[in-house]
Amino acid sequence: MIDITTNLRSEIEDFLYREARLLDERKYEEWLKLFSDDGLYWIQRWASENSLVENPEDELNILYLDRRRLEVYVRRILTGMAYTYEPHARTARILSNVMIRIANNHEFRVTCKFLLYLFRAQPHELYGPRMQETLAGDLEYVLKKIQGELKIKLKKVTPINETVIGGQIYVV
Amino acid sequence: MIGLEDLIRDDGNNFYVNPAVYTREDVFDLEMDRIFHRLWVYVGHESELSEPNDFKVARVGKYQVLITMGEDRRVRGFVNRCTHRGNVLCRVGRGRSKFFRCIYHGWTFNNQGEVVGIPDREGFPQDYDVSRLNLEEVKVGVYKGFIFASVDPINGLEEHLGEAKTFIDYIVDTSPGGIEVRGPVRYAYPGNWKLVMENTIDTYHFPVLHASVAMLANYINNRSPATTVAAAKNSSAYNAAGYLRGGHFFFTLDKKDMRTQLPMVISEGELVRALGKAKGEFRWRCTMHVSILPNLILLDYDESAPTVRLVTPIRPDLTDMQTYVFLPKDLPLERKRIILRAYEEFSGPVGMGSADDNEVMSCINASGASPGPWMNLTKGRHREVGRLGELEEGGIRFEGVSNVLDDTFVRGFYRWWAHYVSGGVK
Repeated sequence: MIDITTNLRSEIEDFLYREARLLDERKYEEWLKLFSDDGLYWIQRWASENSLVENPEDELNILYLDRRRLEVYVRRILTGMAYTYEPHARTARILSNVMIRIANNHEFRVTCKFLLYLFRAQPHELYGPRMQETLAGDLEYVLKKIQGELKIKLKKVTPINETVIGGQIYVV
Repeated sequence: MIGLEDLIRDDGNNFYVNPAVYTREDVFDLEMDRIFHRLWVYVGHESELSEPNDFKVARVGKYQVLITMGEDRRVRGFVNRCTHRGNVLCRVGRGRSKFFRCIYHGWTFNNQGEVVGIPDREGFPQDYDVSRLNLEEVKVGVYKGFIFASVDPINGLEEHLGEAKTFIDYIVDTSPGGIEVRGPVRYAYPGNWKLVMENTIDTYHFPVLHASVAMLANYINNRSPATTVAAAKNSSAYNAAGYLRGGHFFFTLDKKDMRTQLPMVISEGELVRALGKAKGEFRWRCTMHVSILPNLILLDYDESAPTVRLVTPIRPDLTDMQTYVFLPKDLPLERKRIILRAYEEFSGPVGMGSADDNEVMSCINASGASPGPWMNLTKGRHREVGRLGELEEGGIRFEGVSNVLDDTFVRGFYRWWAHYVSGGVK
């Protein structure tokens, strides 16, 4: 295990905060550029009350997208006709408890907790059931340095909320 | 007392339904009594209870039920309630156990529903008939691996399924090695249970609501929603949507111009061998969806992904969804993976298709809770027919059908719905 210097910790934390901010600001194209070409985006599924699906390739997940398919997913949001996002929810992502667990010279495994507050008012349901939702859980990243820049090789999202009412998860 | 004239109006030309059918508590309660407690409710697939002593909990209308497989491999259903003080007996969603012990006073039942342990048994006389303390049984029936339960059925399972069996046959008989389900992916939408049943058969919305997906069609895994749109607009007589005796409804879509997934699963020759010439050729040509009342939806391989949806009404404006992918057991792993990914990206709760479906369904409920005009479901009435040779080739026997872009299937459903909620037995 390589010592994690204060500099490295700051660099990684800044990266995570910047990523969260890009999503809150709906800058999806910039966000996408944070992924490496072999990047993966995975929203994990609960298999039971206390076990998770750990073999994403061979099982059903909430979402499991390679970089190319993540791009399609994001492009659709940007068409303006993805009505789940029209109007777009206002969101606030809070990240905390950042741990940098394994590091070699180029690759870092980072875990943290997230809180995602989501407010989505439409005129007909200003006080409706979907007015406000809170998602919380774990984020796990594999970050790697490519030409001096951090890129996401894996972003794994594990919301503790098993049943999302509204059928919408704005984790992306 | 609910007057149907407040909910459905048919003047012989126009067919109207009040969106209050999605929002009113009294309508919901009546549906639970007359539909969910009297028809056969889908509760799971046999592959979820693959070993003796496997169990899962489910809902049958307002009843919480426990579905078990005994050592004798028989599937049974019970009200999931301790017969002593009414506590929830089984407090986990699924697992494997021979016994269920209530956490309150320790009454214990085996998975055949018999009480086998009562602490301080001496509190009852020696000759007390403890079988009266057994779990309350719910009727269970299995059709080709699909498990249904009913509290007070008006008929037998096979009679209830009726012609809808053809659609289950098309899925099961295509895979001589058997099918298994993966999942469930679980979510809920703030809308009425009927909306997802209807929406799955509604092809008319596809080019409009899902235009954003069609635009990106070339990029999307293995099959193309844009070709679905093209197929739906094609004048082929195989593009049909209609309703069956009993109120189940379906569509068939001509795959002539579609990119499809079925060839990954089976070849045309194998299909003909498995189903016979007429049905084999029909299945090769058509993809299909069916909504089987009251709560089972099946989508086959081609239009989206091979899916089983278990629909559970919670409130008029809240519906629990457990969605599964079904796969031939003997399909090579890499092909299974392609299909699993196809489900996630389009049909999952945050999939590019279903998320927007949920958006519309919840908006219809939000709108239906306030006053306004009724829904006009007249589209296609002038071209509705009771016979269609192309479907009959495939062994599909129906009551009424018209073009896949019509509302004929919804009209048929609501006639049967009215029949059920008014308490009639045909």
